[in-house]
Amino acid sequence: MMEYFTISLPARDRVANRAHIGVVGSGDLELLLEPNEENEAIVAVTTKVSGHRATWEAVIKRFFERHPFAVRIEIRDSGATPGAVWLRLEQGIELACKDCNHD
Amino acid sequence: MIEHMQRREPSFVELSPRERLASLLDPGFEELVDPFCRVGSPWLERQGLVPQSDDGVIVVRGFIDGAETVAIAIEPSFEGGSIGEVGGAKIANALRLAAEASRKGNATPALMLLETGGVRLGEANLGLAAIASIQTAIVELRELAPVIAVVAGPTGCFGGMSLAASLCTSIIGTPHGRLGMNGPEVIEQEAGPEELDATDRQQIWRLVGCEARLRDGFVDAVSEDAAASVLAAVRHALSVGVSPPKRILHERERLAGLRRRFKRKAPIDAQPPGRAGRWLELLCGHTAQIALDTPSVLHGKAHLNNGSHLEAALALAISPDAASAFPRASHGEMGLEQALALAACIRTWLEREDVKGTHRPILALVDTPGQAFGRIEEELCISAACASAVDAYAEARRAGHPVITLVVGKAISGSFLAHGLQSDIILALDVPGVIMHAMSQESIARITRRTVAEVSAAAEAVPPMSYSITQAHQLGIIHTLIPDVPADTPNPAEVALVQAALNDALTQLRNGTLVDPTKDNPLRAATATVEQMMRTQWHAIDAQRIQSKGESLIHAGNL
Repeated sequence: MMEYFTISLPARDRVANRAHIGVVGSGDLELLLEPNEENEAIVAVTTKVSGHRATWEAVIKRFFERHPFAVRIEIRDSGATPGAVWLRLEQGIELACKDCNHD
Repeated sequence: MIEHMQRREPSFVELSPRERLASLLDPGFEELVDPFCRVGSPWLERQGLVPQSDDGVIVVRGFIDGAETVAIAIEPSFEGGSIGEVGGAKIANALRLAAEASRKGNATPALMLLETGGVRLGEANLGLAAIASIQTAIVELRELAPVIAVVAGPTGCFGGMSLAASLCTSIIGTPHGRLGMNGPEVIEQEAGPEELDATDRQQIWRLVGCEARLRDGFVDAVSEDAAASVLAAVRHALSVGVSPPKRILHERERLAGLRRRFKRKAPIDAQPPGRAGRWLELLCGHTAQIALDTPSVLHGKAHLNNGSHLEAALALAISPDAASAFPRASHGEMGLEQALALAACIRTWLEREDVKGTHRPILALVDTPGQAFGRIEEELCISAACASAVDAYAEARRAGHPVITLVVGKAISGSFLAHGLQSDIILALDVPGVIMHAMSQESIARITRRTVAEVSAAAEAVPPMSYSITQAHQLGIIHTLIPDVPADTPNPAEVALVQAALNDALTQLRNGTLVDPTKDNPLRAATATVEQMMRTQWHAIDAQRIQSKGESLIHAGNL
């Protein structure tokens, strides 16, 4: 069964670009990231595996506490582990920050 | 030692599709209908599958050594690199736009990095229809600019897309790639493990690996698994330019070769025709006969009224042949013999003095349970044989001969691609037993790792998964349904109804009143979106180039 949910968190750091990374393939996910004008990170998740919303929320909350970037993210998940989710988020932010002067 | 490893070129196969494109194209290419356009498959979510925002197909416009190229790459990790409605429309439209540009003087070759299992089984009939339109587009572009297929990775190129690859100007493989019509798992499922053991990798690569294909002339080059080596092969293929692919011509010779190697179980004799054969006899009368000593391929002359006068059409049907030398193609399937004889029959007809220069129609009568699933068929590259049939139909259409298809039974998978889907209009009897699909439910269950019950439920709930001809009609794949005509024992009045429907089809084709059933069809909104977006973005790139050219001229003037 599929599950859809959206998580919003306060965020203030800006990214320069949008980014696309990953594949909706076994154990992986696709991530679309775009800059958000508001001071907020919004993550919309579509996942093939239902029943793990609490884990998603924990991972995403922890990520944006550490990296408070104001972005809109769409995740299409095909059973990625929390570690893989974290990695894809980091890659997305890294790509989106390319050519912008954050320290 | 470590130094040596560091200097080794990275694997091409291990690159992602976008990285592969970047490794072959000049810097600065542009993606069309990219992930941020968010045109995913509209059919997967209701099957509990997550769609991808590019549908696993990446199309870019760019340059190779400064020369314009449209390049396409398939993502094998998403749904096995399968072709659905959206991805298929992306490929077909990219090729069509390249053909349009080529015709206007901007020759635009196509490069296709194919990593695909063929039709996406979760969008079965729309996948089939999409692949048919990709095939039409390849043949169209191939006459104007080279179309190059690269089959690099272990996913290989299978199903309907192996026919598409075989239609290309050249095919480049790597030692990891494989090219075949039926995947080993499907052959094992349909024909049993004694026919082919799907777990025997060595045997599979000996059978369908690109190196074996190169030896037999079905692939044109095998490069090393490194971008520089693939690019060198692509450059060579581009330099050859426009030329017909030899692997799909000379059907008569290939048929003669088969006859020398494989002997029939009984002398050539008229066999009791199958359903399509019986319809051919009903519509063609005494002109019905077997083609090229192939009892399973029947042809005849049908007379169709175009509204003002009668036109003599070439009618074609595939029929069972119990004494065939190929046991897997003896029950009416599309096998090596059938596909080659069909192609040869069409090409011979096109060369006839009374046909040349005319626009006489072709009538394809369809009741084929599928392509032949067999080891010998794969070894002798049934993909190329079926591509020959596709090519012959496409050649006829290009020469101005409209193709009308009448489905009187099963219209399944690769056999329908080879005989029936290369057409201008498709009619079908609307009675039980007349069905369209990409694969048997048992095989779909095995390949997509679902139960037969789940597949069966999906077929009920998802229109393109349905076996019902009514659903295929609603999806705009079948133009016209003919009600109230039994498929097996029609009486003369019922045959007359079918004749009238065929006459009407020809009339619509002749006076240009045929309506495209995918147009303004809510079930095909995704197809329309892709077409419109890609066209707009393609022309925006043209406009941008003209503008920047103008600006650079102004700058030059100021200096």
